[in-house]
Amino acid sequence: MSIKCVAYTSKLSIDLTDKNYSSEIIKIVNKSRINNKNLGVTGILLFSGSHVFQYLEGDNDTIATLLYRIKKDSRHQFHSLALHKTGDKRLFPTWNMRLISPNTASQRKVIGKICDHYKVVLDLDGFQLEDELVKGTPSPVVVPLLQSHAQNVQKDSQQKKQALKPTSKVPFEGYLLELKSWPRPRTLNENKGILQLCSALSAKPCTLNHLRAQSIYSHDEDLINALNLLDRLNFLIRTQDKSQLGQEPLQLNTKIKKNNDVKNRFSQAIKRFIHSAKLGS
Amino acid sequence: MSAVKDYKKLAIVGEVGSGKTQLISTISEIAPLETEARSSVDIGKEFTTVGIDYGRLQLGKGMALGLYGLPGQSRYSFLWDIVRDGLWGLLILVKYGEHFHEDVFLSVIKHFDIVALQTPIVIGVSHSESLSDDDIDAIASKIESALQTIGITAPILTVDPRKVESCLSVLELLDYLSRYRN
Repeated sequence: MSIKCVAYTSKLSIDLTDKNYSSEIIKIVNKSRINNKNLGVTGILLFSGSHVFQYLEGDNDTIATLLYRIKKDSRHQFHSLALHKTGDKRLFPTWNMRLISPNTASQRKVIGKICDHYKVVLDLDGFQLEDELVKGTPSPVVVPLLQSHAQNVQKDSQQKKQALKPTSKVPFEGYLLELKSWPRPRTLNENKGILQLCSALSAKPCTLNHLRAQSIYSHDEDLINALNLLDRLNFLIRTQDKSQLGQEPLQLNTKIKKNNDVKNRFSQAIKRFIHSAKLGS
Repeated sequence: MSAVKDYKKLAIVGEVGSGKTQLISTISEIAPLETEARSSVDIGKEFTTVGIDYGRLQLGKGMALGLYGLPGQSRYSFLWDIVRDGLWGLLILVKYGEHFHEDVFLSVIKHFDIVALQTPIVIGVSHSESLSDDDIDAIASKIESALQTIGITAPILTVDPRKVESCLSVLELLDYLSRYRN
């Protein structure tokens, strides 16, 4: 039977200044162990500072569902796939979810094992390990991950404070908004506004003003509610807008809209066709 | 009839029985040109698409959308090439209840080079009318996981190719995706 093997990196949104941080990690691992045992999933979890690297192996459908849940988990701020392979045997057959302590040698060993087995160079996006380690040629200089953990705690705490600083009284103002992933079919099938909003957010990062100019909703409140819904369900990525795009006057956005209207004659024709077809059906 | 100056194509790709021919029949304004043949082996239905199914939507003065139903197997990729130029959107139909062939599915997306060309793409799950949310989530997870391997995310809808409303929803979504990419 073939085994699906995936690895991902993620940034946890757990408060790192919280003294219960370690116990929170342990809680996640313990819960994973029980779930994974029932699901026949094995793997490892590495953490360093605010980032985790997890390798999972198991039945194709189970792994697909697990990945989906992880992606939707509000504790994961960021998530990128480092490995996606199909194999014929498990690398860690007896570990339902082994937590590798933040110790460089142990972490190098397991990542080296994965790299060797799949003959790949892993892109550990955001995970604090040196390049040499990822390529499977350990550096003689050992950087204690606990030290980098302490630095990360300080850095992340500062970033978090900055991120939480209100830039405006209107929610989502001062941010670039982007779609993390598409909502599930039933949500899309039943909600045309969300469908259109997600299409706009999937094309490129947008400011609130850009979204307003698209006239997806006739009331600003409805747009904010829809964004709140996407945010609550963890489908939205918010990053601070440093480009000042959000400061553009609305008049300029209206001009952009008019230009788009001219370019989109085809789109207008499709819209008219759909409208008349709906009336006829 | 005025000459068509702005003609774009919608490719509808799917494996046997996914509903390509039916979808085109449902919304095409012209009698669709079907290329179905009697199956020589048991595939669960009498006829199957052996070439391109063609339908068309006249959108107004000088504008039309061609609907091209294409077989999903990569051995027919020479047919996919026919519609690559002027492609407005790609709809991949996945039949619920059949084994999901991830490699076949991904080969279609790669062939149309949708990332580089920024072609709008929608995944439609057919034969899904009586499914529970959990069943739909399960197939959506598989599709999403496959898409992740090539670093893209795309909307997944349930589609009933027999129903006009359902087919129009797909067109509507492709239009949104196309509009915001401009």
